[in-house]
Amino acid sequence: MDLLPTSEQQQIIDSAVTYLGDRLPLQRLKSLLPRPEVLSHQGWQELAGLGWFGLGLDAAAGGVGAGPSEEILLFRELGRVVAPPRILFTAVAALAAAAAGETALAERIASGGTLIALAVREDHETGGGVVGRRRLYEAEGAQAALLVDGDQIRLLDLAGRDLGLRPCFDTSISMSLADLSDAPALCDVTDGRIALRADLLLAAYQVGIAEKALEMIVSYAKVRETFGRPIGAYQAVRHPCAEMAARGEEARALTFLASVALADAAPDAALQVSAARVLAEEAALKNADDNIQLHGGIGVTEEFDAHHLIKRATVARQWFGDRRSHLVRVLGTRFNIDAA
Amino acid sequence: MNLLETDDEKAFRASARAWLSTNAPEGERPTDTAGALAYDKAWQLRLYEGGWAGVNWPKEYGGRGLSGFQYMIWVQECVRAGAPITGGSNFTGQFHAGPTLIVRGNEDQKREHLPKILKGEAMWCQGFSEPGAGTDLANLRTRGEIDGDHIVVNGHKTWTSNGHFADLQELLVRTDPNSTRHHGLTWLICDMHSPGIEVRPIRTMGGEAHVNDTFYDNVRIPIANVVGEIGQGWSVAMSTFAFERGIGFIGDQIELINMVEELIDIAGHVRLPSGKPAIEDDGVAQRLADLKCEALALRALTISGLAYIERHGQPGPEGSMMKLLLTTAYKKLHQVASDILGPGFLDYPEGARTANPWAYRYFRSWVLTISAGPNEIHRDIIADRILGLPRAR
Repeated sequence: MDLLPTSEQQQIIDSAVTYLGDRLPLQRLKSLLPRPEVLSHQGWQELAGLGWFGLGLDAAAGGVGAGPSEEILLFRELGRVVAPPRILFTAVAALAAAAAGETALAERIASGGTLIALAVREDHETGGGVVGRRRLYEAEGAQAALLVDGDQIRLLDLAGRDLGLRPCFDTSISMSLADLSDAPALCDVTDGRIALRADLLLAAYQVGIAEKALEMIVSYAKVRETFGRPIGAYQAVRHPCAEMAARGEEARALTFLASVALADAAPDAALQVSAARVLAEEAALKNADDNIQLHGGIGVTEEFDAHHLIKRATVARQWFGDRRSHLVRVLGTRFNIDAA
Repeated sequence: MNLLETDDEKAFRASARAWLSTNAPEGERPTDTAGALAYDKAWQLRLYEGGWAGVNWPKEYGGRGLSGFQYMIWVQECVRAGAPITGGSNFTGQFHAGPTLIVRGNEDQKREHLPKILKGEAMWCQGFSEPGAGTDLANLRTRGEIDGDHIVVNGHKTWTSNGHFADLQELLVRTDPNSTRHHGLTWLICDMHSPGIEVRPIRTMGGEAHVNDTFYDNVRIPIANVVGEIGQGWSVAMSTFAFERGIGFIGDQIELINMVEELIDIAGHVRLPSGKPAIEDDGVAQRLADLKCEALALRALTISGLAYIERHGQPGPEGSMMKLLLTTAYKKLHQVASDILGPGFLDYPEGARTANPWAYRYFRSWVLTISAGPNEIHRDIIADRILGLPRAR
């Protein structure tokens, strides 16, 4: 048993940190305001070239052939810089296409050839088809929509469709409301493992947000002074920081464990992923909240980066399985301590 | 990262399960002190004779010399078999004094004391806290004067768990009268049967008297009982804490998951005043599900911490997070239980520990968030040692 990254896994972290620090640092979002972030074709191809869209995809489907434990390490780093969520949607879309047996489609997605949006049910739906409006995230320029409804995952063709964009309070994300009922399906697969993978990778992204919030306030608390002392010397700041650290650490540990359970197809994998998703979401939201509060006035300005974390944490909770369904699964699945 | 058990670990689990299936004690642990003590001693001796005492203690002192992971497996199997796991009456010997002697004791001390702990022959208690030195332990004043080959102790310790029946005590005293704070302290093995020791019980809110005040009036302790060096007591005490915050919580973590599952079961059949099962109440369901997520995360944190020990040979500072999260979850769980169980939660007969464990542990939950360093101190430790924030003091 081991829940620490191996040296190969550490290399994934190190190379992601290096690339992101250079090409996609969190500070980039400042210069984008108030426009959505759309990477250039070249920028997108660069990410494809790093293998990030197909990290967990089988080599036979054009992927790198690593597993969930490698993927979470990447997505945690992506969360820390509030990276474009299209990376997440693309990785899940590629996995879904491969699971559906659509190898050519999977390859195209993993190589960055299809721009993916996530389409989340907005209105009540009846029957099995795609009825009613969907809210699209990362809508600008999207060529296909990823729909995750329970264990059913579909990719719908958006070619030729005019998606009217609507502003999101997280201004770096473009949204749209669209009726996709007549959109042709590129693939349609019911596979609980892919739905879990989506939630797991999102949990890792949320852990990254939670950890970044902690890092931001800790570095500020060491230099910002009030009443002649650094604010980090005051209990009113130290103790919330300690709570943030503990909250982030338990969410991180459980996300790591869930990734291994999923890779092993363990009987409790769904339970672990759902629990990780619940705690990671809470950690992202609460740490992003505390980060702003403990910064004081500077924390609410657009100039400072703290608002990106709370905005992304708040938007991200709309993606993939909803909190209630995760809580229901956690409550309804008995855990045996000696199941090993 | 992996969660698979090695062949050794699988074989270990199988042999633990087989042994426990015929050896786990039958019947409840008695609720009275004398009965519980006899029960704990008998169980410890049976463990020793069966080769199961000190799973992760060194072989040369009677242990099995196995890994932290194997110890975790052992605890899991004990829980499965309904056998005691927390050291019972000798928690201090097994989880504080023993591990400290292993790391810092000399050869004579190890040979003398470790086997007695493993056989259940010697019960230990702790003599660290004082009325003015609990959270601020370095403020302690109990004096130890060197007199030939003895140290003469005078002073007052408090919160001495099990002091009323313990045979030995890990005792921290100030041997340098001119010293302050964590300098000039010495860690001693104190024979609790020595002349000059008086133990007075303190009743706690759950109605028990497991903790005591301990008074020392010219108590003579041989210098041979100094663990580490004279004046190095703080560093010796810290090695105890490192262990306590490392694997000392494994049993509590496993029990937490089981208690959460048990309360979920209870919520499935206990009815609220509205007539519907408690679990169908959104508020109750939400809190139980949140607690279960926490319990699962603490398991992950435990495995993470054990992996750290395997790689680095000692626990990381993350033990403070474990203490903080675990005891907070434990308290929340019992608060939810008080909601679910309604008026039945209030019954508190003699032997409440087994008759109404939810209420018994409800009171214990404050002991847990305060003892072994109150959670406030653990937040400070996290702020100092993990986050590197400027010191508060």
